[in-house]
Amino acid sequence: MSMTRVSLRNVTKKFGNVYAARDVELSIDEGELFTLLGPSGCGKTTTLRIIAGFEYPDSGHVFFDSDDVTYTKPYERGTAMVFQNYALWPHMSVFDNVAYGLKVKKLPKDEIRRRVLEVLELVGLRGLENRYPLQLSGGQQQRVALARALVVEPKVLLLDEPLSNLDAKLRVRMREEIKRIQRSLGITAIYVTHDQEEAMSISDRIAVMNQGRVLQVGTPQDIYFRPKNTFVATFIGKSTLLQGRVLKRDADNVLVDVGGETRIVGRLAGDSSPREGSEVILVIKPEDFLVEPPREPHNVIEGIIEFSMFLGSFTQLRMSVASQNLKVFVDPKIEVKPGDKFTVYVKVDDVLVFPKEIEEGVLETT
Amino acid sequence: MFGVILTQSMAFWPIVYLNIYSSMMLIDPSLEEQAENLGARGFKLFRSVTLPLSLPGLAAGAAVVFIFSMEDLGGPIAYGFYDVLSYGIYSNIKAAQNIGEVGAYVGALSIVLLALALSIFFGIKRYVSLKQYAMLSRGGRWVPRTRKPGLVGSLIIYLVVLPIMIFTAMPQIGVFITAFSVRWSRAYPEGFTLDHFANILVNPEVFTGLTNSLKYAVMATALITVLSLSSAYVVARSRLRTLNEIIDMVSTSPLAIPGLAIASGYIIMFTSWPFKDTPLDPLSGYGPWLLVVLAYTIRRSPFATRVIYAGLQQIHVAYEEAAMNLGASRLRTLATIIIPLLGLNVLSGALLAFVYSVAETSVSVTVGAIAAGQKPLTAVMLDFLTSGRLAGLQLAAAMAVLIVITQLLIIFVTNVFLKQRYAFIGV
Repeated sequence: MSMTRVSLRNVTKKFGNVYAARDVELSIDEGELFTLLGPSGCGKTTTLRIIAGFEYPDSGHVFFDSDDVTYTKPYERGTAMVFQNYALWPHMSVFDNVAYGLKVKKLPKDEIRRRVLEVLELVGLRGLENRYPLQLSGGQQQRVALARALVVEPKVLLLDEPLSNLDAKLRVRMREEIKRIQRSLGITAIYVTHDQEEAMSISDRIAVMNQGRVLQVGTPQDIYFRPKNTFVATFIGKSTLLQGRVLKRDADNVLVDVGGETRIVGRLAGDSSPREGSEVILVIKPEDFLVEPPREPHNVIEGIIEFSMFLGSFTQLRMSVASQNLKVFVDPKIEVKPGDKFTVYVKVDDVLVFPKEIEEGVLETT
Repeated sequence: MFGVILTQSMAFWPIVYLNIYSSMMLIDPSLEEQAENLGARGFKLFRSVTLPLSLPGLAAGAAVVFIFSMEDLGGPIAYGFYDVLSYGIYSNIKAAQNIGEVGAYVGALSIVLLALALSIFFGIKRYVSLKQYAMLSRGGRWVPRTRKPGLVGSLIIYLVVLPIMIFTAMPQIGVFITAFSVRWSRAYPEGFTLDHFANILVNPEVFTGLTNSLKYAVMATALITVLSLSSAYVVARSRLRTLNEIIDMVSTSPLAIPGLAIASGYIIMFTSWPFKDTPLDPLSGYGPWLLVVLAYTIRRSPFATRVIYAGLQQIHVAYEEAAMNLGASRLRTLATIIIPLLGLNVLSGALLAFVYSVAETSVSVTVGAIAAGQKPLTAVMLDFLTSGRLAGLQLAAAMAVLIVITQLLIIFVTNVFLKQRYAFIGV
């Protein structure tokens, strides 16, 4: 299959007064599985539809390799899209659905037949070619949609929330399958989702979007461990936030007063670094709290348990610390009850400190 | 005059009925349940929730009936009550056949009729669109609420509503009886016979009228299908709001334009320069057939447009995008995806357009009657009625029965086999 590089240069698209894409700059490498991740309305689907040609940007350009395809008609682009609702034509059998793109290209009959059967084999649907979409389960419909897109050997495979209509278990299985197929074909794929776990499990790289802007591009590990701003930090994972004021800072670390008697040392994150005395936001992942002091440099945080919720593999606590709330995941075997005093430890490296002025679009997490 | 009013009420109330019925069917049952849940019951519930929500349907039905009744010819002719706008236009067009041109009088009357009809139509349309409550329902059941009436309710239904319905069906029943009766003496038919049907089947005038009607209707239906499909597609799919509104207005306004206004307008326009003596000129040697087809097309296209538009709204745009994404051009997408998915709607739209074309009266008895050999069936019927020939009434009734039966059959097919909801007429 062909490998195509996709680049978006300064792409902007407005619907009325709302920016669906704002100065979007992306470079997607050959053979990469690239994910656009963000909450609903962030512009990820619009960006995908601009790549497919269903929308034209107000300004900016889209390139496939070195060809400017910004205003190329969707049917001349050579992309293939898997739609959120699959969009399988109900009046055509599985075979005809999958063969459609090849028939449009006027390929010889026997070649169409061979390629359709091949791709149905690949997605595990061999033998169902005479069924109609309504006779298939959700997962099977999803595979037909995937097969229909793959069979034309597209330059770029586009997937618009392809798993959102499946139940949780099937979703996990299908995402592994999509990843496997994409790898084995080495095809460039752009994937849209609002599910951060799905994005991390499947992607080579992720672009996190909000309000039409790309906030950060990086590998799942980058995004998870080294978020560039509070939006990314809170959208990925279930981070908890504390507000405070900088007391002291050195090259990497800052000492922050979060009120009361509590002071926390954290690692500087983000692009700009806060001055002493300025307001900052601390972002901590609930699973990074420990109940025993670690060997590495760490903070000791004391508080009152306000609420505890047993969730099976862990217990979620809400702790009140200096009249702010902290979300903490602990071993489910630890027994605590509201009103108890409780002490947790967190490594300095696990506390991310962001200047307050770039908190644009922070998600409420508690 | 009361006769005319009564006939028109009897003839047109089903239109209002269908409109109200379809808007009541669209009421989300949970809205009524919510009102009941908050304590509204019986008449209070009807007055505060059900009625306001079906008001747009009622207003639309009333407007259409008003327009229909203004241009109605049957009532005035039957009762000899000629002091109405519609008869004025009709008689002057009739007279024009003899002198070979239409006077300014017809034009003036038609303009009055047209202006009245259009202002009512667009006034109501605006009112309805303002009042068009978006009744969104996510999930839940969508079964219209029905309940068994109590004793008083049943009495009212059986003693008042049912007789009224039977009474209003009298003309139709009368036509059926007439068609099978030897002759009427006072209030009773005198013996029954099938002779009238036999007679019309061998009558050359009727045969010509029938083949003319079928020819015109087939041609009009073909044009209507193409026209309706394109305009419905543009309105349903393009994002240009003003263009959509204009197309929507143009494609629905034939509902509001009285047939007589179309007839006289066409005659005036196409008998003068630059159309004089072209095939479009009804007074030329070509005769009026092309103009009749054109008028059928214009007058009956809204019925098909509505059905097709409704179908398009059910087809998710992703079906088309998926095809284009795989390399199919717009035309190919239309042919391989949209038309197959829309097939039933197109078919029912075409069938409806066809039956309504065959039954068309206003243009048929005016423009269509200009050349003897090109008269459609409805014009032939009027000749039989007014020519004073032997058993003319019974023969016309027999033709009416034939038309009604085909109409019922086709409406039955679209409702039952093609699963179209009521092809209601409205704004």
